[in-house]
This record gives sequence, structure tokens and C-alpha cells, in this order.
Amino acid sequence: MNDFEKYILENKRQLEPKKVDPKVWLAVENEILKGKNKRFQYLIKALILGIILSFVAYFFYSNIHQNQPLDEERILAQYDLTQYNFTQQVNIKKQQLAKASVPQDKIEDFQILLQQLEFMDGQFQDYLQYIEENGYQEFIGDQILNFYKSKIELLDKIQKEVEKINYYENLQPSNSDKVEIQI
Amino acid sequence: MQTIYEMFSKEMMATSQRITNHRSDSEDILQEAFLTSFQKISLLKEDQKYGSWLKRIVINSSLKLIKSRKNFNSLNEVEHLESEVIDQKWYEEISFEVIQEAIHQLPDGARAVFSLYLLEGYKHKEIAEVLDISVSTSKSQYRYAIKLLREKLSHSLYE
Amino acid sequence: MKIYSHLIQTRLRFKSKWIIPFCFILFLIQNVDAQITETLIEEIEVADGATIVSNIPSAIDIMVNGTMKCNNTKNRYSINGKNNDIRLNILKELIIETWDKNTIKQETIISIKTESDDTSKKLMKQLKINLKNGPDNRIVIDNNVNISSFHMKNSFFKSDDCKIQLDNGEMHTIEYISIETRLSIPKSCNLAIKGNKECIIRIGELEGNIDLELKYAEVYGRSVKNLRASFRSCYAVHFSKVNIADISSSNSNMVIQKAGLVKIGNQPLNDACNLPHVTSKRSHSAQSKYIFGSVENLSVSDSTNDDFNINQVLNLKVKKTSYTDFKIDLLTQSLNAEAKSSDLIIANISNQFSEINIKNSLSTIDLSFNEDANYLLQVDQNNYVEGNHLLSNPKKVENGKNIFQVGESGKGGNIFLKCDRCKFNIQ
Repeated sequence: MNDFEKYILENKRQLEPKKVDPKVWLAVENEILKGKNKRFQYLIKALILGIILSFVAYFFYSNIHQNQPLDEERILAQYDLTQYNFTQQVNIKKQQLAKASVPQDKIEDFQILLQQLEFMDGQFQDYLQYIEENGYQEFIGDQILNFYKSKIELLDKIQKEVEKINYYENLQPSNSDKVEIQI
Repeated sequence: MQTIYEMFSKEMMATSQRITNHRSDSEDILQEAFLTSFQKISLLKEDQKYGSWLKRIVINSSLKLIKSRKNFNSLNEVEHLESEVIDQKWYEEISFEVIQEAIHQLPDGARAVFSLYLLEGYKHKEIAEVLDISVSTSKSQYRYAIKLLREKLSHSLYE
Repeated sequence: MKIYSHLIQTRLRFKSKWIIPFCFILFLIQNVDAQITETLIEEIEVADGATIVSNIPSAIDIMVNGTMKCNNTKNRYSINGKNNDIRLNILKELIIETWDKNTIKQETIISIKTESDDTSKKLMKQLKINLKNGPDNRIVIDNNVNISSFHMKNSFFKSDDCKIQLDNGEMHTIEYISIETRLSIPKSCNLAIKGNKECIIRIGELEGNIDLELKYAEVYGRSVKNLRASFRSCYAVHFSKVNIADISSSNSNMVIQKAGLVKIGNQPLNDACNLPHVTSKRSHSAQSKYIFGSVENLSVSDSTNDDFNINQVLNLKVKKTSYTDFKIDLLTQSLNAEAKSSDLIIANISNQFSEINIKNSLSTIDLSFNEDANYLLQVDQNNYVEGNHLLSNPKKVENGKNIFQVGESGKGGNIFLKCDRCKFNIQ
């Protein structure tokens, strides 16, 4: 390094500008403030987003709750009908009937009565459709109460008819094979 | 923060301007460099090193800028530079404004090498790495810069 | 800055001091002022023999987005999650009174509550009744007062709760609406009502024909000349007097106190009363309960699993019937029954009866006569029967029939019984 180079190096500070344009600092300061504001804005945005997400979650949850497919148990609970144990009564009666059998040559006479059960299931579907289209309405609760009473009466009637057929079968055997009732 | 800025801004401006040779660009670089340093100051383990850390940011940004310029040609080795016979203290009569002006009139590459080597204390090896040139090119560019400066400043003595 | 802090303090003072009265005033404004009630009345003259065709007030479509919750107050709806918030109240009663005038009068009382009194008034102006004579001497009555549908949305926003859509497509947000319709029609008119939603219909004394196609309805009628009806799931149908009734029904309960001719299951159920989910053919009358006071002529056909409880019947005819039971307090003249598995319990058979003819199976047949009754009883021998002592001691056997003569020969009615696997109790 020669003297010229040394001279330059030693007087390096002299080569600096006398001042830097103040706008540079103003710009830096402005950006710093913006950054602080941004952080605040992020906080606000996060807060708003949190609130929105909470609402979305709430609605999602309530929609899931509301849009659950209508089923028998839910409907009965809606109308305070669970106390009557209708589904249990129906199931017990159906299980008893499933074990029952009648002579094969008598089963055909029976079909029209068994068909009534199919119509009753169709009736229940009609209630579900009504609720889906028109919402829960109190009279449907009354309808369902009557529906189950009729259904239980029908199952009792089928049971009674089975017993009647078998009673006469024992008195006067038809020699026909016994078949189970398809219920 | 303003105190820190005032402490370093002139030096950083000079450093950047010597590399970019453009005041407005250097102001932008300065602004960004200070902003970056303030945002990340918490990462700095030793406060004393702030100046050198800031300078590194400024130099890197300035080099990045000049490299991106379309007219920045890759530096070549300058051949057959005669060893100079220098008159003692010929430069003392020249004002620093003139020296500063002469430095700014140097070609981009030569000025960058000159600035980094002499004023910022970079080794030729480091300069070679940051400017993507060979060590010998850095050395020859430096000698070329000194030669040009001397010529320019010598002229100024007779004007 | 000082001014600002002063403002804050003022606001805080206002909040703490006035918040309750302020809310109370808001409550009053919200709940009292915005509800208005109006009665729309229209009356037109009609020609003799006119037929009035009416829908039911609940026929307005209810479009629900979300789930409505049923509460314990009849005829009220609330949106799920907003308990005790009654948004809609339709009085679903259709009252049809009859008079001697030759005019039809429609009175509809509408109550509306919206966000403001002005909005309620503007909406009320758009709700109209439109009574006019149509072709073929028919008058169509629309009880829906220009409203095509109710829309309910279980939304966060209150304004989404309940809207009504008018026939012209306009949507209006409402907080409450009630519609009550009362019709006054000439006694001589014919009346036709169709409905597949819950509705309570009250019909006055009518000399014309009534045609009802109803699902989920309750019907209370007084004296009616001619009734043709198709009922599905109508658990309360009550008429005090019917001259001629032609009824098909499914899962319904019916009471007729006095009737001339009653036909049950003579015609198929109307399409509106059929179940969309079941395609199989079903009986014209099924799973219904009929309670009749005094009936002159009762004809039952295509009946399955019905239940008849009759106080007094002159002539009873039963055919194509199975699993349908009859309990009759008094049979006066004749009984002709072709049935399967249908019990016939007759508590008292008048001495004046002319004929009892029963073809049945798997049934219990109880026939009770007066002690001084005279009749000739013929029981088919080929089928296994059980019975009381009367049947174990025939006077003679002729053409495969056990023949019993009770009381004086040549007097009283004839009884023919052919029953496969039956229990007889004849006394």
C-alpha cells in the first residue's frame, strides 16, 4: 500500500457525504411505524378471523346437528314420545312374530294383513317427508302417537290371527307344512 | 433508533454510493438496510458488531444492485499495468471533494474493487468471491483503479 | 383530548343510568307498535246449485332452511335454537258456516308484525281476498290471501328468520302473521275442500254435496246431505247427520251420529290421500275406526283391518272384507256379509229382522236374539265350527246343512251361516 492509498484510507471519513438526505430516515421511520401498525392489524385480523371461525364452527356444528337425517329415534325424542317405548314394543312384537309359523296353505290369506305393515312403514315415511318439507309441527306428534298405537294394534292382531289359525290347525290338521311369517 | 441511524448513516451512504455510484439507489439501499437491521436487531448477539453487520448488508445490497445492472460487465484482468512511479505527497493539495468525485468517475468494477479492498478492508479473495471474479482480476482491477485515480487527480492539479 | 374524555364520561353516565329504561322503550317499540290487524271482507251473490271449491289456510307452502322446533303451543312454530321465539302463527281453522242467503261471504282476519308499523301497513295492503264467480257455477276460494309461501331460515341474522313470498314473487320479512278465515255460504251450495296438511275444518248444516279429499285434517260437520270423502290419517272426523255418505279412508277415525246410507270403501282413496312411498295396491278402506250412531243402510266393501262400532243399523252389507271387525248393538233388518277373518258381534237382533247371511272364516260370530224371537237357522255342516248348545242340537239336517228352528215355524227371519273354522255364539 503506497502513501496515496494510505492517505485515502486514513481520510476515509472525509470521503463520506456531509449529510444523508433526511427523507431516508423519514422513510425508515415510516416503515417502522407501519410495521408496528401492521402487527396491530395482524392482531385485529387474527381476532376477527378467530371470531369468524368460531361462528363458522358454531354454525357448522349446529347445521350438523340440525341436518342429521331424520330417523325414528330422533323424531320420537322431538315429540317427547320416547316415554312410551314404542320402538321397543314394536321390536318385541316383531321378534315374537318372526318366530311364529302358520300352515303353508294359509299364508296367502295372511298376506293382506302383513301388507298393512308395509303401508304403515310408508305412512311413517310420509311423516318424515312432511317434517323435512314443513318442519316439526305439533300435530305430527299426535299423528305419530296414533300411528304407533295402530301399529301395535296391528301387530297384536297378526299375533291373534296366527294363534287362531294354529288353534284350528291343531283341531283339524291340514297336513300342510308350516312356514315362518316373513315380517 | 434515530441515534443509531445518525451514527452509521453517512458511512453507510458513502460505502454504498462508492459501489453503486448512484445516490438515489444508495438511499434506497440504506433505507432497506436500516429497516432490515432494526427488524432483526434482536438476533444480533453482540451490540458492538452492529456496524460491521450493517455494512455487510449495505455492501451486499449494493453489489447485488450493480450486478443486476444491464451495463455491468464482468470484470476482466487488466494486463500490462506498469508499476507506478509516484511523486511523494502529490495528492495533499487535492480536496476530498475532488478525490470523491474521481472515485465516482471510476468504472463500476474498478471502483467496486477499490472501495472494497482499500476502504472496506476486504481481501482480494473475498472480493473475488462476492464479485464472482478471479483473485488476479481483483488485484489487477484494483491497480487499474489506483492508476485511473492518480491520472484523474493529476489532471485536476493542472486544471 | 379533554373534550373527548368528557364525551366518554358522558356516554358512560348515560349507559349506566338510562340503559334499562332505554331497553324497555325499545322493547315496547319492537313489540307493540309494529303489529297490525285487519279484517278483509268480501261478499258475492251466487246462483242456485253453485259449487264452492276451497283450499285450506295451511296450504301455503312452508319452506324451511334449517329445522323448526315444535313447541307445546298448538299452531305455533319456532325456529330451532331460538326457543320461545314465535315467528309464525297460522290459525289453521277453516270455519264454514251456512245461511239461508244466496251469497258467499269471506271474512279473513290477518295480523301482521314486521319491523315497523309502516312496513306492516304496506304489506297488509298487498294481502287480498278475491271472491268471484267462475265458470260452471264454481266459486274458488283462496284462503292464502296472496301469500304463496313462508320461508324460514335458521340463520344468525334476525331478518332471515321468517319471510313470506307473495304471489307476485315479492319477499317480505315478517316477525309474526296470523290468518283466520270464516266463510258463510248458502245452505244449498255444494262444497269441495282439498288439503294435504294439518287443518281443522268446521262445516255447518249443508243441503248440497260435500266433497272432501283430506290428509292430516280434522273435520267437524253438522248436518250434511251428501258426503263424498277420501281421508288419510284424519284422526278426528265427526258428522252429526249425513243423508248419504260415500267414504274411503285409511288410518282415520270417523264418527257419524246419524246416517241414511253409508258406503265405506265403495271407491278408491283419492290420489292426494295415497302414500307416495308405497306402490302396492291397497284396500279402499283400511285401518280405520268407524263409530256410527244410527245408520239405516251400511255398505262395506274392500275393507281391511277396519273396526266398526255401530249403535244401530237397519241393513248391513259387507263384501270383499277381511280382518275387519264389527260390533253392533242393534241390527234391525238384515245382514249380508262375505268376509274373511272378520268378527261379527251383534248384541241384539230385532225380532223384525228378515235375513242374516254370513259367509266367513276364522271368525267369532256372536248373534243375540230376544227371548221371544222366531227364526230359522241354517248352518253349513262341512266346516269345522264351535258353538254353544243351540248348535249341538239341530232339528234336522238337509242338503248338508244343520237346520234349527227357534220359536214358531214360519215366523221371523232366516239365518244362513257358512263359516270355516269359526266360533259361534248364538243365543
